[in-house]
Amino acid sequence: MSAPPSKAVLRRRRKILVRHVPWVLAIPGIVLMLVLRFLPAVGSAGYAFTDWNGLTLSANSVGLDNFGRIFSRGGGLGALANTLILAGVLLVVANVGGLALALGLRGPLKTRNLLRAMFFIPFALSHLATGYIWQFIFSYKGPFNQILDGLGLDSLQKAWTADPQWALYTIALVICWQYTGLTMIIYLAGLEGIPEELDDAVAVDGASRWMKFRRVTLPLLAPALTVACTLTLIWGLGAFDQVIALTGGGPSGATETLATMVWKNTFVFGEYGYGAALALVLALIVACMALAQMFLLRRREDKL
Amino acid sequence: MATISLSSVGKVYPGGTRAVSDLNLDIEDGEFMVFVGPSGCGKTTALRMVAGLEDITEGTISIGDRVVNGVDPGKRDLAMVFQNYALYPHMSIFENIAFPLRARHMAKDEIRSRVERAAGLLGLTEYLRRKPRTLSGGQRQRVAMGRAIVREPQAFLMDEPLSNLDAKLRVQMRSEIANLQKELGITTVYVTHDQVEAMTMGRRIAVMRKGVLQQEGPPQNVYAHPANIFVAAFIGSPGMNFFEARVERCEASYQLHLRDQVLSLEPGVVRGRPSLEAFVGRCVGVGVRPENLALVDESSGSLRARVSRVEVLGAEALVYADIAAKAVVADEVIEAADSGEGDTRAPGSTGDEGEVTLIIRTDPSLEIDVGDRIPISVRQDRLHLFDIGTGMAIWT
Repeated sequence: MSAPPSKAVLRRRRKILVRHVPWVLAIPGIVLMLVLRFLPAVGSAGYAFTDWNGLTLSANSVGLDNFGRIFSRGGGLGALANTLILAGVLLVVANVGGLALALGLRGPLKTRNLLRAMFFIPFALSHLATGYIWQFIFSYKGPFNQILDGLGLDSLQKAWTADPQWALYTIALVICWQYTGLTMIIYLAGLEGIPEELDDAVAVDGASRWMKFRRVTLPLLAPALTVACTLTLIWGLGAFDQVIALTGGGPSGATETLATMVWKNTFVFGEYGYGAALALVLALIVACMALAQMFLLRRREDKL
Repeated sequence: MATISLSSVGKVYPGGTRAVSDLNLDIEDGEFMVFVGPSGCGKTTALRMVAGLEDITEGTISIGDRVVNGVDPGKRDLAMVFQNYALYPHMSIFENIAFPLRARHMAKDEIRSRVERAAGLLGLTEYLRRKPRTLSGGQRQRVAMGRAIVREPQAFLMDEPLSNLDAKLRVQMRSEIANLQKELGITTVYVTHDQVEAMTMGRRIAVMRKGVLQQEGPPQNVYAHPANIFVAAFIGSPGMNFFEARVERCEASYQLHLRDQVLSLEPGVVRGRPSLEAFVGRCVGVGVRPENLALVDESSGSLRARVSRVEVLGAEALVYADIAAKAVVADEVIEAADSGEGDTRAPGSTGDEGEVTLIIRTDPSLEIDVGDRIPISVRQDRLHLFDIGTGMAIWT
């Protein structure tokens, strides 16, 4: 019979086990993610350099032609601009609004829980379904125009989602309405993390409300700011449901976004190669902007 | 610098919980006043009311000549040191200390010179560029002190500022704060649950229980003449020994009858307490501090007890000895015992059934074994008698 392993050997084995067990436990998740998310994405990226129509068995290589089309006039540049406008508006409005709501609903308001729920519900509802409701609200004979009429502002009435000048901002309004509730929750969680003693210290130190916000609250919300800004940027760049429900990308492409173009070219026009190129560009834009933003915001967090 | 006056101050929280009742206290200019009591006694609420962080339900609080009931905390010209330091984690030490000055729009040069002076006083000069997270607990505590003194306020308010420090550092910071206060001469209200801290730091202490001020005065006075059984049990470590005894008249004097022993009261004790007559035939609470019991010769002992434990602490020894007597089981004693720190047993707690364990502070060189029956003498000029019904000390 062999001698039992020495203490040193046991300790070494334990060390190895402790080091490797987390990886072993993570492997199933990693494999699933690779097979179901990353491999299809990387695989489809290959089609971005072909003219595949999504049905035939063969595809011809077209080099960078699909990307040239995207960045050409009448191609995807309009959609790219719309995407950036929507993302920019959502980033600013949802974060400023969410933060304002969080600050307002943090205090000893009696109805704060009810109000929190009311502001959060839009995010929990189906974005497509609420998009169709908003489409009705903003239609020419819809409730919004009727309210304008009731207020004597009938000169402002228009088909909001059919007007090329206003359609994109109408979509932006709906998207902001939908996501502001979530950013509010993120900021509320961030505010809860600020120790109450700091509020007391600020009060005794005699700082004004503005000084308290600028010098204490906002810097301490840096982690929540990173999360909320990154999420809203990603959601804004990938805006799809609301656009489809409200305008379908119209009128005459005035509200087309990269996400709706990906869908239309791939599944409606049968241009899988071009759709894949658009998807690749969208993915790269999202990744670059989100990473750059996270990098900048994380530097603020490091100060904590 | 200013006086602080609390007149009939009360606080009831919205749910109806009463935190402070009818608190009357005048804190003199430059005085170091300590609020002490167990958790939930209302000491922190009282301090926060002075700071303006809690609204007052009843009464008035004045700082100097000004009634400050409705005045914002920032406009009371007070500085506060918090239990968890409440430093701004994203700011450097310099910015932390400078914050209250910036809030007052002070000129940059003045801010710099004041911060540097405060940092020098507290030994923080080399840490001014660092963040609070890189400092030790003691250093953070100093930064919190720096933020308070840089303002040169009317008064300092300190809410258990040492409770997060380890025992050794606590002792060091205790004297640093006391010295600093003496040096600056700024009126200070200090809250603690630690009676040792209160005794060593305060020029005056205010003992609180269940929102009611029990007694206030110089620490030694409160220690030597506790107004009631709660104060007697709460102040002192190890705590006061308590047992019940029946008062009986014996010629011109009185005797205290324990279960199987009798303690004759000396004429001096009786002369000062004419009201004892009303207690004849009734039980009173007897309190005696561990240092006022002594192990003596067989012939001169007034009580006999059986040793159950001996703790030698180096400079002194604590002898735990059981006597046949009824324990004082008043809520006040139990509450004070529960909140005691460093005390090795609840004062007046029983050893075996029908016995009370007394703690005797004695010379460590004495050879005493567990099981010995020892004669004990009681310093009767330091004997405390309490009305068991009301808990009040019988001093008259």
